[in-house]
Amino acid sequence: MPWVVGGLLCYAAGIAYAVADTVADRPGSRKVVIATVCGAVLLGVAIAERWLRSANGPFYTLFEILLSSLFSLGLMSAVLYWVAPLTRIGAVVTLPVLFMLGLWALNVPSETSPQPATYESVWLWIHVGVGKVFLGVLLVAVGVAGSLLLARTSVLRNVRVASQDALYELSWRLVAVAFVFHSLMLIAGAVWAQDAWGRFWAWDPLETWTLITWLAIGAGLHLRLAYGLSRDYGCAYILGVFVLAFLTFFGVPFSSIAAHKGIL
Amino acid sequence: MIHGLQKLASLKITPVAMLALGAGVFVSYRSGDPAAVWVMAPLSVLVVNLLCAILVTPRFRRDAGLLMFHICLLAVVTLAAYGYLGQFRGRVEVAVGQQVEPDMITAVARGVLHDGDALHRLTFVQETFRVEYTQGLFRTRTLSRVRLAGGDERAFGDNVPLALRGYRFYTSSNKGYSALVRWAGATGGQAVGVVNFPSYPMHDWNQVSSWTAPDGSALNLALQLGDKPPQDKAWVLDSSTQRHAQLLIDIDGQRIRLREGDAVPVSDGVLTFLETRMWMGYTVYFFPMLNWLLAFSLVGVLALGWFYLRRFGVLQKRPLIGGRSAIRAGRHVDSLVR
Ligand code: HEM
Repeated sequence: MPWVVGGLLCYAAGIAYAVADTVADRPGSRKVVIATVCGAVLLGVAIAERWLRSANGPFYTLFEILLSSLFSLGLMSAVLYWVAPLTRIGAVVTLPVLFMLGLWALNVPSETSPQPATYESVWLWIHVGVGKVFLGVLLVAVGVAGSLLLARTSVLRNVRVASQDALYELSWRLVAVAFVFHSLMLIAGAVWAQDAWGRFWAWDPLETWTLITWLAIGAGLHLRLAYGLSRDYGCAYILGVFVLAFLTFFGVPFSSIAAHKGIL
Repeated sequence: MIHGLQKLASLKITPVAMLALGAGVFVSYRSGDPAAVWVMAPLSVLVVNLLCAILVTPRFRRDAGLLMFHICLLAVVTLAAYGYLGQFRGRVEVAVGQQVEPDMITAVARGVLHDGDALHRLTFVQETFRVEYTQGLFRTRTLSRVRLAGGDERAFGDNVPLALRGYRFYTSSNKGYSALVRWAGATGGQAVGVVNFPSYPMHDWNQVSSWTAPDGSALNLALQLGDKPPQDKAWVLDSSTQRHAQLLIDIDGQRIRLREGDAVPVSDGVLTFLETRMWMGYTVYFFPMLNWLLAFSLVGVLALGWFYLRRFGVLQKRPLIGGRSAIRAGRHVDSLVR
């Protein structure tokens, strides 16, 4: 647990730097990136330590899934902040989302639980891996889109002066990349489901909501092409898609007892 | 003609139909009918829209990756529809030593194009199986052994199905005990029956079943297994372990207790309890062209990835989105994402 708290404190430091940048009307600084990397590393250690103790990967309980998401979403954000510094502007939105996820993790039971034998599959790794990349990229897209919306309320003054068009384009590019990974997640999940439960698709709650999210993203990409979505509507749409994806990831699997549970 | 196609190919229709499909999926999920009209209607619109777009939209001519992705989308929908029409899903319970016969397989879903005769070519004999549990009766590994028609043996379970002529047999959580009984009629005639009791250990407390003798009389049976599955330690359910259970049979309001080898007169004959065995429950799955479905999905996504790599300039060695210089350049960064 100390590693988790340490990781969250780093994310909190990242938030502080991001807010300071915003107030000072600076583009996102490297300190934000470093704090995010440190947070992800500490959370990575938390996962490794737990894994060595329980011999189970972070795939099964709500706590494990929150922990692995905190790590991977932080890591994805840090990578994107590094290679595409324009995205740092969204850290004021992205990092608080991660921090809240962390507070949630601290408040759920953290006991380990045995995993069903169906979890011993390379497809689980691929499915979860590309899924995390999807959500990480979408989270950064939401950061950028969210900061553009904040600019409307003059919270983020620097965006007002700087290139809103460029940032808007950037957020949709990230959504497009996320869409590719979402598609891969669907495919890998179907292959795993075929092996594990003897069917690739069964309209279970998680599958259904994932398909709805996929269609919503595809529709968004086409809406922009066909109707040229205005910037505010476009950013709001990205936010909406993220809420859908977030609820699908963290809401649906834990509100239905059927998903992924072993039966006598 | 071309003008009509162009109208049907309009990109204005696409996102609206996609949102309608998303809403339709939600409604049908709530109503429990995945093939409902609110899914089929927007899906059909999308298919027609896409087919026409592929034929007449110049944008697709200019970009092979984008075209390939959309063709693959069409192929996936077509293959999935064909697959559903030809699919078979079912389940079967096979006792150790028993041979699977087609009429033992219960269909759960059968597409109209499914070739029923194919089921007659599926056969194997169940050998032993074992199921592992951790403390607290949490099921982990399952391993089942079967003998195929040619004499080959196969071991499989969990993520690995038994593949027979395109059909896949998956071990399930459903498995339990059977009683092997022999009925001998008063006027001649004999039959051996396998009576499967409810899933174990799930229905450990309720091991009752019934069996219809060849003379048509229904016999109510219960199996008494003795010790309970342990909750406090790891445990293995192994079909080769003999349980020597007792069989209880209700005759004329009286409950009669049989050990293995005991016999009892029943309405028009004699029933002998031969021995206790175990049965394994499988789910059976057949979906034509499943591998093609996977291949088209993968090629489609890779084509889309290729399209974006080129469009975002990654393959042209231009900066993807920003770059270190973008930060230094401060606020004038529009050109970098254009
Ligand atoms: C579920 C179905 C569909 C999905 C998931 C899908 C996905 C995509 C994606 C990801 C793009 C690239 C968008 C971008 O530039 O960022 C695209 C572009 C395009 N799609 Fe679709 N598509 C679907 C159905 C259709 C249909 C039915 C049509 C028929 C008109 C269509 C026509 C186009 C066209 C013309 C483009 C290129 C637009 C441009 O870049 O100028 N798509 N599609």
